[in-house]
Amino acid sequence: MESFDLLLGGFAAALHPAVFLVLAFGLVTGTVAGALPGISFVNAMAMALPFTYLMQPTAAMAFLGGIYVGGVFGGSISSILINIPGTPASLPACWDGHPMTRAGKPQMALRIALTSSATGGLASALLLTFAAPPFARFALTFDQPEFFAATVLGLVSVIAIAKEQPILSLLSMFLGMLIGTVGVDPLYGMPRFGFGQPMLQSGVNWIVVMIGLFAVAEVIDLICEERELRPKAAGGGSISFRGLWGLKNSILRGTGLGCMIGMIPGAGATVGAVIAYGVEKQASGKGARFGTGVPEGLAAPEAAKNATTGAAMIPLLTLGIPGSAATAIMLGAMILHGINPGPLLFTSDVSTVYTIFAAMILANLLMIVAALAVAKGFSTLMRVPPAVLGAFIIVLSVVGAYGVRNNIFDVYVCLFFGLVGWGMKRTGFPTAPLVLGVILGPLAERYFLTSLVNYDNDYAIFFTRPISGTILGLAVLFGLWSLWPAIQDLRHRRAGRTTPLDHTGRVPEDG
Amino acid sequence: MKAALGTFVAAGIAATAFAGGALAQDAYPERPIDMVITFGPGGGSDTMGRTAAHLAEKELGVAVPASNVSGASGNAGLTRVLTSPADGYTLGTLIALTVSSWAAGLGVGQPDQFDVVGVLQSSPSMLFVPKDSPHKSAEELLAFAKANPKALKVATSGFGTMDDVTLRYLTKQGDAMTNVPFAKPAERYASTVGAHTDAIYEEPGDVAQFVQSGDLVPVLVFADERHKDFPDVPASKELGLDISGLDNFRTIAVKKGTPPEIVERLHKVFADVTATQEWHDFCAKTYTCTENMSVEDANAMVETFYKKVKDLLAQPS
Amino acid sequence: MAHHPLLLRLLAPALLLAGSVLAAPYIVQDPEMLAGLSGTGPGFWPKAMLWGTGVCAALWLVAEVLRPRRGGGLAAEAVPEGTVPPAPDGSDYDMTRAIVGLVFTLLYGVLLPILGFPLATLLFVAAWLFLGRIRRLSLLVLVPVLGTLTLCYVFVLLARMPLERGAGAMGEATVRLYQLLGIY
Repeated sequence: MESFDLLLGGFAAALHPAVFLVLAFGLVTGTVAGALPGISFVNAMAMALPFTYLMQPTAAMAFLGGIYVGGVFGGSISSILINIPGTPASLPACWDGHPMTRAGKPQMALRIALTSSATGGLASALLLTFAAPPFARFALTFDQPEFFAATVLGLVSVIAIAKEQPILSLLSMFLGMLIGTVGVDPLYGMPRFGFGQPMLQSGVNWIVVMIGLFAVAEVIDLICEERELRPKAAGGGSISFRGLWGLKNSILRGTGLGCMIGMIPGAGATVGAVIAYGVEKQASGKGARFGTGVPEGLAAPEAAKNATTGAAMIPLLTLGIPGSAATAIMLGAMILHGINPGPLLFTSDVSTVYTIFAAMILANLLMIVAALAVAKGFSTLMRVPPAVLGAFIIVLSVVGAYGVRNNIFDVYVCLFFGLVGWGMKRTGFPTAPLVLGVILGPLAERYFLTSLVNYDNDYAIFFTRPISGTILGLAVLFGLWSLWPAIQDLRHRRAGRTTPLDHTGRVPEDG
Repeated sequence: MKAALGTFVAAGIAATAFAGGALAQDAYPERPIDMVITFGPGGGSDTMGRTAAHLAEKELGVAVPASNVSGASGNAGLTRVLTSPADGYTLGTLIALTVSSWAAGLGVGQPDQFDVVGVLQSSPSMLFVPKDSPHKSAEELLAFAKANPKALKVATSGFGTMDDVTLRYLTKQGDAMTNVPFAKPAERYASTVGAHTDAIYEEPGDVAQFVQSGDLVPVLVFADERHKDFPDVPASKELGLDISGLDNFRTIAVKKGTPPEIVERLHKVFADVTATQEWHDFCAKTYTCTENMSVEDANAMVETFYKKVKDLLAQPS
Repeated sequence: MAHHPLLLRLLAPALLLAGSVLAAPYIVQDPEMLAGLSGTGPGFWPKAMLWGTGVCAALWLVAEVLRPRRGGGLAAEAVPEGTVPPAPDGSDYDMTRAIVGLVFTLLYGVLLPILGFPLATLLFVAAWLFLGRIRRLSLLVLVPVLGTLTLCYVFVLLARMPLERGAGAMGEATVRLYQLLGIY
């Protein structure tokens, strides 16, 4: 009950006009930044940091929290409407969200995404409020082998999201992980694939690769296909409350996964969304139609992505361990304001903690309003000629790639991957595994090597530690489970050779 | 299309030629000064750079926008400082870790390519053990290392860094410990707080919250004298270990060749910045307050540090 | 897509396979750097990834060779997840325009550090509109000018990003322009 009283006090502080206003402002800023392809909410948070100097500590945290929550959702607006993920975590929203837009149902897609995200985010904020300290202690028992196992689970889910050809997806993923090794290695500080170029020593940043692969290639298609961006009917394809209620299982699964994954430092929203998509594909029973605009395929990753926001703040607040770039910026802001996150914070400055909790809950509620407003503005944007839109998306992508590290080299990398992405798209070579490889590969390497150094080069350590072994076992099961349709398909083909019945080579609908 | 493009290019060139000719040399500074932060958002360099930039704006009268140019142990950002004109409009953060990476053969930098206009923070590194560690003091820790070579695991920032150099020195003294590198600071802290490693090599300001909560216990400071904020923690010299001069400094530097009057102006600005109450509060919180140093002394300090790490790395381990 | 000759379909996997073999010596600049390091070292992971890439490429190659008549190889069958498959045989896809668009985009990147952000952006947007069949002069001038101005105010003034100002005289011209606009 004590925590309930504290939470009420937190709400009183968060509803103070000054705090509430910056929270709302942060939400809108974050949603817009998230929705603009190339400008991530992490950039927006870094830019907002100096402004927080002028604020009270709680207002500063509410502001950054608002940008965070709004930004994580905002990315899906552009995923759904123009098939360009505004932020990495919104990548899965392209797969089933954009096909809905193409089918003339953008409103329905946005509503599903918004409902799922808000549900996931709210659940996550409540989890943060009531379960933070015990969960944080549990997270501390995770060491490098466990992090490695969790990353492997993420990589396996890449195969799970692959549509039909696991070999091509695997190849794409390995290419991505190879690209991820370019630059200074994490342990020895030694440049790899550097070819003596100082630029290459800085490595290839995954945000830059993603912007190139998705934004540039999409814009080229935009002017070449003469595609109609305008929604066919105003407010096309609404969805009733009953329809949304029907998605409750998908949303619940996504929320649960997101909350768990969010607590693992380093995993974050992108991994959460991707794993949720992979799991949902298997669990919903509609796996074969995923990628054609299935509501479940949109609801689950959307819920998972926002469910990581509150969960990611658990290690931040209770241990001072930021799990992602966004929470690292929050840590920076907290230190600048004299708030030292850690177990001590829960005794020394408990009112601040509960104000942050309350702000996160409010942010997720207010997000619905902010997102609807931004989405409306974004739909209006769809009415401008595709050429105008395309030109500015490319400029924004270039600015976004540049802004990651304020480096012109990243612009070249981005445009190079634009070329590559266009080629891959034309030939039907899967691009998503490549991006995920670039994101997860370096994490996997770091965890793998540090584990070995810490445990006397014992390769068995990944299987003998109970948590790590369990996660790896799950990864193997998950891999087999998701490969099952492909294996069945293979058997079909074998059969097909003797009794020529099925030449389509497609997974049967019930698979 | 070509004609249209040509017209645009021609118009652009004409306009810029006119504007370029009219550019006058006014009193410094006449436009915003870029602060290049050589590490990513949220870390020690970032908070230092942004706080300093914020406070310097008042002194300089122009905006000092800070931007993170991270990568290659800070060398990516310094490359940007080096490729910009030496006109005082590009400042960069230069920290000990980056200088030690030069000594290890990484990056393009050399100490004589920079003028250090302000040494803003400095702190010796320390060894911390987790709360429930069986080794409660430096003596116990070192005795255990002597008896069980390489059994103790120390979380560090990597091989070929000051951390590595210090551990190599300890190995040579018969106190062999295993270096376990963690590229991400947060993972490093979590590993020792969670007792997955036996100790951590870090400066106190970066783990302040764990020290205050008691999750990490300082046992040894690598310096000739004790740290004034930790009077109970022995200095390495008291234990007969001659390993000092590897303090973690954070400075603001400009490219060598910047006009002396501008270097002097910037030096004065950052001296004033460190004299403010805001700065004092900030550095006290991170245990990094340091005395003001002239540009020559600061340059010499970086040079000495570079040579020291280079010598130590060259010795066979 | 399905009617490409065998050789063309083999090109991509073959190139990837060759690339992963040829890249192996370039993992670190100086192989001597790896000597004397105990344990797995910095070369381990990239080598493993090269192996992964090579093996997958080899499998793809084998699959393409083994199934020459079954209507295209793996790539033609695989539908990229989430993207609607490219229009069949590119019937309503303007390939020339796509290539010109790619060239424009690459040129923009090249010109950015030379001309500086404002001028390069202005030229790029204008060129792109022209490519997108916009011929009204008012649009061709107004959209790039107003767009570039807005972007400069948002990113240079508000977000305070150190965007490229251009080389030499162009850099000074950009500073001058920013001062005229009240950004600096």
